[in-house]
Order: sequence, then structure tokens, then C-alpha cells
Amino acid sequence: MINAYYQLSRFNFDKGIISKGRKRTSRSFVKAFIDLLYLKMYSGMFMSVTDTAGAVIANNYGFYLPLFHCNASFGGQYNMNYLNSYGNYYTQKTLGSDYGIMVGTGTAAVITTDDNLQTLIQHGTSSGKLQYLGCMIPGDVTISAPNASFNIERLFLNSSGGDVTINEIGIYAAYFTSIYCIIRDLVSPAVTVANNEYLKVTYTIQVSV
Amino acid sequence: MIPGVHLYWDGVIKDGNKVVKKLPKRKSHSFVKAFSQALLNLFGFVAVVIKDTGNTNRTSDYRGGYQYDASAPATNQTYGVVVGSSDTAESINDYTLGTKIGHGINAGQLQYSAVAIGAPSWDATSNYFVITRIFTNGSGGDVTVKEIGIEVFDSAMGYYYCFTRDVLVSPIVLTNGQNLTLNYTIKVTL
Repeated sequence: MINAYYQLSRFNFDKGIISKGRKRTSRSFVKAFIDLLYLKMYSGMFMSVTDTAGAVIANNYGFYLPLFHCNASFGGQYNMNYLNSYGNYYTQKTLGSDYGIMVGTGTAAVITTDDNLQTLIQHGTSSGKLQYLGCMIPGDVTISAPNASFNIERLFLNSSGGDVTINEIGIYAAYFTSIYCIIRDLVSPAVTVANNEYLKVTYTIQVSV
Repeated sequence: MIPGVHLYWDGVIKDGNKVVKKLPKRKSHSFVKAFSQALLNLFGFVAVVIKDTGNTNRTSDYRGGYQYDASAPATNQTYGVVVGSSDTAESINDYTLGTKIGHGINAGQLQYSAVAIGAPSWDATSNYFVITRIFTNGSGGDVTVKEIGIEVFDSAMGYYYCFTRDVLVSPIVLTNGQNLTLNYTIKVTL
């Protein structure tokens, strides 16, 4: 099976690690994950998938692009244009804070058809906002029989002048010109990030025999 | 149930249209290493090195797995749902079935139908889709299936990868004229 786990840690450069959260089981992959995986495994198919803006996008199976792309740049910056084999630029208008690991304040229970975080925390330095640093996949698959796993990580910096509380997290994946929510989790208990603190969110995707 | 992406298989053995035996839904054991690497590639990590079904390392580049296609056409034993005769235990490092049963009507062979993949469905607690293939024994004798799996075709690169492998607790014996329908269900549960 495939499990996802997440971990939230807080730190700053003066005090080091302030708190290292427990590794928790993700609940869960949501509908767009299965819809897009289906698309990738069924040659010739088109699949309508609801994006994070609530639009139903008819996807072609055959873009030469990562399906769950989440290597996002710094929040306020446009991502590098990415020329695919069809000559299309697919991240042309996408900001780093539009996809990758995302955080929010919503507390509504996760349902299978979630296509968004309930209340996204915006990128920025004003009250209630966090700065979204880059989202990365730091390494290759690690094998530790019977498991194979890899991590996805993102740092957030609170420069808002006050506390920011995280109640929900998730992964937004970019595919061609649209963005899809593939994982959403409630964070309980909530994690409060103080001013000048960093929050590191790590998702581990693990395949097990 | 533990939240995550679960894999199940079930099946039915028929003689013509007559049901001989139903094979109840079981948990698959399971996705293997290449699937995790394909996921890594799909998440945007470039240049993932994946061992193909021929035991050769292949680099899956920035194109991110143009297609990990499981929808093999009829007679194609190279990918899709596949069956074999080895009962060597599963390992996370498996890159193909132990001994694949070939397509054909000679001794020890089975006829492979086209793979069908049902559109995704969902309910309050799960999302899933089902991958199906039918194997018909026209060999003139018994054929025993001891392992099953899903192998896929990356049509951008031209390579085949093994995503899942299961060794059956009870081997399936197909007598001449019988057919086996196998269903794999990939299911997300909250």
C-alpha cells in the first residue's frame, strides 16, 4: 500500500529547533489524486478533474509533464518557464505560493472530494500571512525493506508580526496549466508559529509490500 | 482501516459463461519499488533511475513519465495485468514477475485479453478505480497461475516497469477452456 505521513517542526536561527512534531499518518489523498493517476495509467484517456479554483479541467493523458509537480519556487516569484515537448510553457503564470505544500486555517473535516484547503494562508508579511519558501523533493527514493519512500519539504517564515496558527495542510500539484489538491490533512492539535519563526512541513510518501 | 492508497485484487474463474469459482477480494502485497520511483518522478523529481522489467536501469527524465500505461491491447503479454508461475516471495525490489506466462495457445500459455480500466468512482470514504484483464486457457492442458501483477509502459521512453506483484496463497489452476478474470482495485481511503 501507499501511506503518506506528515511532520511539522518549528525553529528559528537563534534558538534552533523549537519543537519537532510527531510524524503522523496523513488523512488523506483526495479525489484528484486517483483521477490523475487513472489518467496516467490509461493511454488515450481524457479526464475531467476539479482544480483548486473549482474549475473542471478536461485533461489530456499525454502531456510530457510531471503529473503531481510540486517543486515550487519562493512564494511571490513566478516559476521558471518549463518548455515541454509540445512547445508549451506550463508554469508561465504560476507563482511559487500557488502550489507545492500549502498551509491553512480551516478546520472542516477532510472528505474524499476536497479540491482545496478550506482557508488557505496567503503568502506575505502582513497579519495572518506566512512567507512561502521553495518546495522541494530533497532526495531520491530510500529503500528500507519492505518500504520505499521519499520526502517532500517546504519552509514557511512568519514575518507577520504576530502568531499564525496552522490547522490544515496539503499538497497542491501542478499539471500543465492547472493546479490540483491531491492531499489534505487536518493538523490536530493546531501548530502556532510565532513571529520570526520558521515552520517546516515534511510529507513522506511511502510504498510498502 | 488505515488511511492511504490500498491495492486489492479479486477474480472469477469461468468455463464459458458458467462461474466455476469466485476469488474473493484480497489485499495485494503489493506495490513495489518502481512504483514509488514513478511517483517520485510524477512529483517532479527529475532523472529518476528506475529498473525496467528487463533488469536494466533506465533514467526517466523531466518529462515525468509521459505515460505509465496499463491499458495493454489483446495478445500483449508485455504490460497491463500479467500472470506468472513463480511462487518466490514478493520483495520491494521486484522488477518483474518471477516467470511470466506467455500469451498463446501452446502448452503452459494463456490468451491475454485487452486490459480494461474503469473510470474512477468515489463515496464518502474512498476513491478508486479498477483494472481488469481476462486470461483464457486454450492450451489443451492445465495452466497454473501462482503470481499476478501490473506492469506498465512508459511510451515516451519506450520502457516497461513493474508496479505491483502478488504471489497467490492458493495457486489458480485453469483447466483447458476455462478463463480467469482478474481485477486490481487501486483505492484511496480516508
